[in-house]
Order: sequence, then structure tokens, then C-alpha cells
Amino acid sequence: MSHLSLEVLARLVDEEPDPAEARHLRSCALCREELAALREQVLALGSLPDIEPAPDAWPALEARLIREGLLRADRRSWILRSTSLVRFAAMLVIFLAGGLTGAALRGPVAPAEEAPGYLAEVAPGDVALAASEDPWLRTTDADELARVLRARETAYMAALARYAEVSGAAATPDPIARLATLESILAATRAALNEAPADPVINGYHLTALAQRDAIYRQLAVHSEEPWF
Amino acid sequence: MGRTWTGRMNESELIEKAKRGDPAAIQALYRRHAPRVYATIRRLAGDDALAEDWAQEAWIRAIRALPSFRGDAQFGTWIHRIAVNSALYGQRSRKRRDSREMPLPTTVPVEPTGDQTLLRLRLERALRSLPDGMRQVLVLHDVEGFTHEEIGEMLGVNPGTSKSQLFKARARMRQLLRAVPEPVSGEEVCHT
Repeated sequence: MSHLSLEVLARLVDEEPDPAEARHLRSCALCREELAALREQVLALGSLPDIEPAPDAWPALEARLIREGLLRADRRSWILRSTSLVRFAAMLVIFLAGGLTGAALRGPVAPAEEAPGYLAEVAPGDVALAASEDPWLRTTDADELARVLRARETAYMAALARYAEVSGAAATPDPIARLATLESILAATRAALNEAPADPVINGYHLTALAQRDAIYRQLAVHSEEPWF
Repeated sequence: MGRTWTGRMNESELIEKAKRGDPAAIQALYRRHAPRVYATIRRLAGDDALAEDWAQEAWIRAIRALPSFRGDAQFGTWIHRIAVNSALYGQRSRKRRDSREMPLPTTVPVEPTGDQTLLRLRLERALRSLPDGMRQVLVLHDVEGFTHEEIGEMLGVNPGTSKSQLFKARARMRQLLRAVPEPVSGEEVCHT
């Protein structure tokens, strides 16, 4: 008998052979080999992996979804694309915490008009006001959001600078109060790092706060009359 | 997508949000299911550029139809079926536009064997080399696991036609995967 055709063998992957085909298969090693190869081919096809679409597939789809009104055009999405929501939330928390630190430290030390130039950015009480009436929560304009973000950052940097200044001065506010404030900043940065461990900005804030806290500990150790043990 | 709030949500929560047009939820659903959708469509299309267009079309249809998704089937099964239909629709439209048949290559370049990646590559290339009709049936049956009844329904043919196309397609694949082309339809491979 002639060999079985490839089409017949392809059918035998799924179906039982008829008596003549079964007889041939028993006696023909070549056809058995070919049938085995076809079975392998079917198995291999069934286990082909998924394929990632091109990286620009989502932006293109997103634009079309927005055009067709199937996706809400979120005016904040430009921020979400450039920095994740978690990272942004963490930055906001840190800026607020920084501002509060500055306000807490600055209040009794100097009135606003006598304060150094950089502190004019943060008027007493404005951080608390910002926290209660946060324009971020009200505004929908992208430029306005960017302005608020820059203001937060300025406030934070001003607070840190002020903090560095009072930490180095002889007559400083209560170091325990400073430590408590720094701990609150560290708690915020630690929480943020749990969400975004590789984020360079958050890492930078965290390391800065850690360095400040260590400086206070060192200062306390130097001036302490009590033995550490 | 990284670790975001949507990454921790279960699928039904995501679907509910996506139904309301929530951008993050829609994106999360896309991230979860896009590789399967794209793989299915690309194999049916046999062409990357077509696959990208048809995959986008599939997602547009799915998002548009999302409010009617009742959850009787898994979302993955539902979107997969939409993907298949989009590819088949695309194929039909393309045929209407261009009835010329692509020349059928006789073989697929032979590469070293023994490596799963290379085997997959050869399979993918061989799939692309099949004529459209054969590729559709082979992908739907051997890759995607549809029955002949389902394939017949999708392609508008009877299950017997789907079967005979499948056997032809498997035989053609076998030829393409070998270095030397061999006769397929109805012919004997060799004689004793």
C-alpha cells in the first residue's frame, strides 16, 4: 500500500484511523513518524505564547477612544502619564509636611517681614490654609495645577532651608519638637517609598530628612550631660 | 502599568469603573488583556500592520459594547471573541478591496532546531505564509481551540468544510516547516 497522504495524517491527529489506515500505520515507520511530527506541530501551535502589542498601541487607542467619546478626557492625565499617581500623591504629602514643618518652626522665631527672602514664599499659616482649601482639589486647569505644584515645591524647599538654618543656630527651638516633625516627614517618605521604592525624587527627600534627623541626634549626643548608657 | 490602585482591583470592579468611562480602569483592562487579543489577531491577520489596526478596532468595539457586558462569560473570553470577529471582519473587508491572492511561498527559512524560541519563530513564520483561509481555520482550531461548529458559525461555512480546511492547513504547515516542499492535497507522499 502507498503511504498515507499528509492530509490523511493531519486528520488522524484528531480522529481514529479506519481499518486500512490502522494496518498501514502498524507496518510503516515513516507514516508513524510523520503522524508524530504532525501531533507535535499541533501541540506546539496550541502553546504559542501571547504577544505584547507595540508600546505606542495604547496611546493611539487612548487618543481614538477620547475622540469617539468612549473615554473621559481627563485633564490631569498629562501629569499621570509623566509621573505615577502614587508618586505624585507622595510628593504632595511631602510638600505639605515640609510646609507644615516650616510653619511650625518659623512661627515664634521671626515675623514674616523680618524673615529671610526665601521665607517670604511661605507666609505664616498659608500651609494650613492650603491644606484645608487645597486649590489642587478644586482646579481643573493644567497650568494652574502646575503652578500649585511649583508652589508646593517652593514651600517645601523653603521649609527645609529654614530647618537647616534653625538646626545650626545656637538658640534653637526644642530639639524634641524638631525630631517629632522630622519623624512625621520620614513617615510620609517611608510610606511613599513603599509604593515607589525606586523613585529618585522621593528617595532624595527621604535621605535629606534622614540626614537632618541624624544631625539632631548627633547634636543631642554632644550636648548631653547624661551618659548614653 | 506598575503598582497602581487599578493593579490591585479585581476584574469586576475594573469593569464597573470602565463602564463609566474611567480612563485608569479602561487602561488596566487593556494592559491585562491586550497581549492575548493582539496575539490572536496577529496570527489571524498574518501581518503586523493589519494586526495593529484590527486590534485597535477590536478594543474600540469592546469599549463601546462594554455597557452591555453582563458578566455571563469571563471578560477575557468576551474580548477574545470580539478580537476574533474583528480580525475575520477585517479579513473579509480586505479581500473585498483586494481580491488578488498573495503568492504562496514554498518553504519557510530553516533555522536551527532544539530551541523553543526558534521553534515558535518558525511556527509564526509558517503561519504567516499560509493562505488566508487555511490560516484562519488553523489558528482558530489549533491555536485558539474553537470547535469546527464554532468556526463554521464564525466563517459562515459548514463544520465539514472547516475540518477539510484544517487538514489541508496542517499538511501545508508541515511542508512549510520542512526544508523540502512536498505535495499536499490528495497526493501520495511516496510509494512503496
